[in-house]
Amino acid sequence: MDVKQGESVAILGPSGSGKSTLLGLLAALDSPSQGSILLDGVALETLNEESKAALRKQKVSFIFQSFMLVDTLNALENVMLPAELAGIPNAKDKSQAMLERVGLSHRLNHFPNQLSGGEQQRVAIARAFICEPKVLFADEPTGNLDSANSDKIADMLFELNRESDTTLVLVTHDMVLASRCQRQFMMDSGNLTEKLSASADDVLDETIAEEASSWS
Amino acid sequence: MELKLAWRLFKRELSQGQLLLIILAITLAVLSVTGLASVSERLQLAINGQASKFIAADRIINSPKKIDPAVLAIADDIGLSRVTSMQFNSMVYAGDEFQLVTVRAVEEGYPLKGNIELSTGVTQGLPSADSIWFETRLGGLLGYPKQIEIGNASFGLSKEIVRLPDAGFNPFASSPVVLMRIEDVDKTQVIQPGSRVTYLYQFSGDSAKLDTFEQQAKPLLNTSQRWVDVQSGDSPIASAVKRAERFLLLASLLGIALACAAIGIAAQRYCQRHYDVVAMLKTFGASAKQIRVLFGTHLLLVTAVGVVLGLVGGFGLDRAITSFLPAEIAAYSPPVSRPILLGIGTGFISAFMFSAYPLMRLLAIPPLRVLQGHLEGLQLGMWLHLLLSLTAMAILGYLYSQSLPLTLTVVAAVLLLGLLLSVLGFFMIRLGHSVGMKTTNPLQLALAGLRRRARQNAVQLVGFSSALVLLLTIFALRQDILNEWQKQLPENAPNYFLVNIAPEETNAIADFLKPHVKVPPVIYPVIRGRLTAINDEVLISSEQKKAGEEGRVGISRELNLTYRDSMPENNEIISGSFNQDINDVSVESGVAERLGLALGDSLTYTIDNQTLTVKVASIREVHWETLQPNFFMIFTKEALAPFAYTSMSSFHLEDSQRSVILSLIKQFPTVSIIDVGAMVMQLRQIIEQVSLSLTLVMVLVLLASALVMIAQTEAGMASRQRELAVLRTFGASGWLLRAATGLEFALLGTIAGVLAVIVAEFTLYLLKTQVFELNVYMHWPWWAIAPLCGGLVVASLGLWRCRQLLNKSCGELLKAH
Repeated sequence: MDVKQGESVAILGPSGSGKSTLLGLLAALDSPSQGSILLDGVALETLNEESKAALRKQKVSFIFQSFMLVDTLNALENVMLPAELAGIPNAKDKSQAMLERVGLSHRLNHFPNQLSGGEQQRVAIARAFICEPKVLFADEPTGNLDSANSDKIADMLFELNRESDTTLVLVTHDMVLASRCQRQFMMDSGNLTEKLSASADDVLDETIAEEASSWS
Repeated sequence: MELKLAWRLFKRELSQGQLLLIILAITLAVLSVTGLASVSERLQLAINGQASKFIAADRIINSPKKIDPAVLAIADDIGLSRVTSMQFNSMVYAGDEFQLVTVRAVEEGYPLKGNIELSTGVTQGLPSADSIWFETRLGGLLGYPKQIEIGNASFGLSKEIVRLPDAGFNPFASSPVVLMRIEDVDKTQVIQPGSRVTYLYQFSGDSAKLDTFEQQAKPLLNTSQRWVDVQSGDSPIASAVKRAERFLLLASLLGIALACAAIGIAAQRYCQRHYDVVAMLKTFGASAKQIRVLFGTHLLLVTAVGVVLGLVGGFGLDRAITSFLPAEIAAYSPPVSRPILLGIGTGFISAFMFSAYPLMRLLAIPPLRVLQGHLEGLQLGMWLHLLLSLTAMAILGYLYSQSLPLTLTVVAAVLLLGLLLSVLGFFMIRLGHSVGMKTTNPLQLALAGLRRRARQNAVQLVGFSSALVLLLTIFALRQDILNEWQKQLPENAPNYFLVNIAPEETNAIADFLKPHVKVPPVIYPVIRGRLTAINDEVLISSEQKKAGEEGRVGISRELNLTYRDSMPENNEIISGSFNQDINDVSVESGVAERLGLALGDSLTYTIDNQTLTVKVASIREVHWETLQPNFFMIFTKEALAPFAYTSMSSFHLEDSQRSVILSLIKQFPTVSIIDVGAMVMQLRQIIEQVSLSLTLVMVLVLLASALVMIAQTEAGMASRQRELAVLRTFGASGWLLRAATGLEFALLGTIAGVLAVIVAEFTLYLLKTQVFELNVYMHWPWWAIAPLCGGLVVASLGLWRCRQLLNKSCGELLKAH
């Protein structure tokens, strides 16, 4: 698997196929027992925990299915968090601007439990882009949202991705979302295959067939 | 940046109430330590203050010669008040009559504590120059002359002394006391080089000054000089005061242990709640150092708030309790520095030591947790946690009590509790596999709940059972100490002693007293003799030993010997059996130890220039604090029959029967009567005050345990809510859920009760044998009462805590989840 700078990539597959494990490895959250992963030219398997953390701080960001906001901090403070960890100056102003871009300028001082799911994920998106990452990993970013909110979040994600020339690696069940990526990979029992020039409908058909078989 | 983040997180969590539990736990620890420390210091001051009246001062230096003026200069520099007095025996003459008396020659200012009681009432003054005050019986012995002579000086016999505050209690001191001014001693010329005199240097002042004085002056004393304070064992209340002090210490120590348990539990929850935050921070690239600093600072802030609140609460508590105390006690104000330092120390040491293990686990949370929800990093053994907790407890305990046996006892109790809990936990999990979750029967539902929450339950059990252990231990000790005192000073404790009863008067005296006293007094014959050899080895005096002579050291003074057919009451045989053979002797344990005596040793006495050799047949423990005639050596009647004796006795007389004493004096003019009624009263007062303080401390402990129990039910609420939601959704009735929840807590409480009884009995055994010197016995009713009460209390607390959850509809429960 070789992903170029600025590309958007979807990883599809049934539950338990190893998508999340792959994501953990690619994002330098986990260490491979064998093989090699190069992230922006750095071989991840050679790094210790501290260097991996430093690498993540500089180059990587995340969006999660369950948002993973700190529920005791308000929206603005959540967005500021990675910027402050990375020691970026004007973290507050930048975060404010970022929240404005995701349409939450009126919700700065709200706590996660006062926000809807869609709003929480928008905060997470703002948080993901605040450090201008080279690679953004998204784990089922619309998995917990209704369809209207899903579309909104997806639009926002791809738009910001384009604008900032970020590489996007997206793990999802959502065929439509996957089809919006430039490339799609299928994960099955730990095997990864790239779907070449697949259309959204093809992917959809295949998954339906697969799910039907697993249900039977 | 991390500091800013820590502050922000702290501020937010504080305002959202998430830190309440841990802050409350720290506050409780600090509050109980500060509050109890300052209350118990106040009580100790008060008790010592009361007790100091018994020695008419706070500290005394006893010396056979004048002491180095440097010592007195130290006292003056520090600002202590002091008076000097002399005590010696001398003959007084009045015409043809003469009598041996004990002369107390005192300086202006005597007594520093307490009062001189005259027949006319309490006085502040001293005899004027050239006159003496005298003990009533001297008047009788000499026939109330106007003038008496001591050595070369003549004194007017002016007022009758009922009691000197530091007269002490020694019924054998049969010579009456006279009080004179120290300036008059020279005129008598009775003090010659080599005369036996005791110089008493009495000091008083506040405790800080006394401590400084003790530190500086004590090293300057030589071996013949003796340092006396209220607890030196000279005064009959010494053991009462010591026990009370130890009790207060122990109560606070157990309070600390309890609060530590609360902190431990709260710290664990505090860390668990931050697992996701740490995973998230790590995912976003936070370095290990950043996270360490962040949470270190966060915890520091939490602790600081807890400590400040605890200090404020502690002083509030002190105020509140003091307002309930009698004015004489409340008037003592101890320095506040120690309670404050102890409070701060307790807060920080316990917060950090108890959080260390959960915090280590928190810091080791892997970032991958963001993707795989339940990952926990490091699985260090629980032993590390236990080790850290025990160390913290031991450090705190020792800091607080400065007593190794007390500290070790508490540590041992904690260890036993830990052991029992782990055994129990093991069985709970093992048994848990068999039965599934049946939703028809509340008992089975409760049992299933217990097993499923085995881990949280173990944590809750720590809290419940340590609270119960604490209660049981404190309750039992308080009762035992009070009983012991009651035994020493029963309602009819003797208040009069008769000495010098001639053999032919003994029957007459017994007949005379019979109609007036409830318990016929025991009359003891007294024969004076000197111990000269042990196992045929001739004894030497300690002075001779010092001078370089070889040999076994004996007792250099004459002993009062008695004979009896049976053991006296209040005495206990430690080894051997009481006088079976004619030549058997029963020896008091303290003397036996000092002389290195064992059963079977032969003792040779010189009595009236004759020798008598006997064999040690038993060793007895004597309760010296009981106001009874007590003897070092008890012989058989046959062995002492050849020797001349006088007798002594003690009895109790109501205050209304004073006239009996007057006619006793008239009828038996040669018998000396010693009135110890005033002393008994004073003793009783002290014991009442101490008892009050013990009760107060117990109430405090009760409150602390209740708080911990309430905090305990908090644990496991989240998982309980999830479960209730599921059960509700599948149609479980409100009654079923309520009954199951109640039963689950009741079972938990019952188990805690059983654990608590085991640990409490063990703790009491250690305490009574190692610290308090009390009789050990089992508290059988507890084995039923503690589990029962534990079940009831915990069930009510649990239902009360869960009442909101139980009343919620399943929609609400699911939503909240």
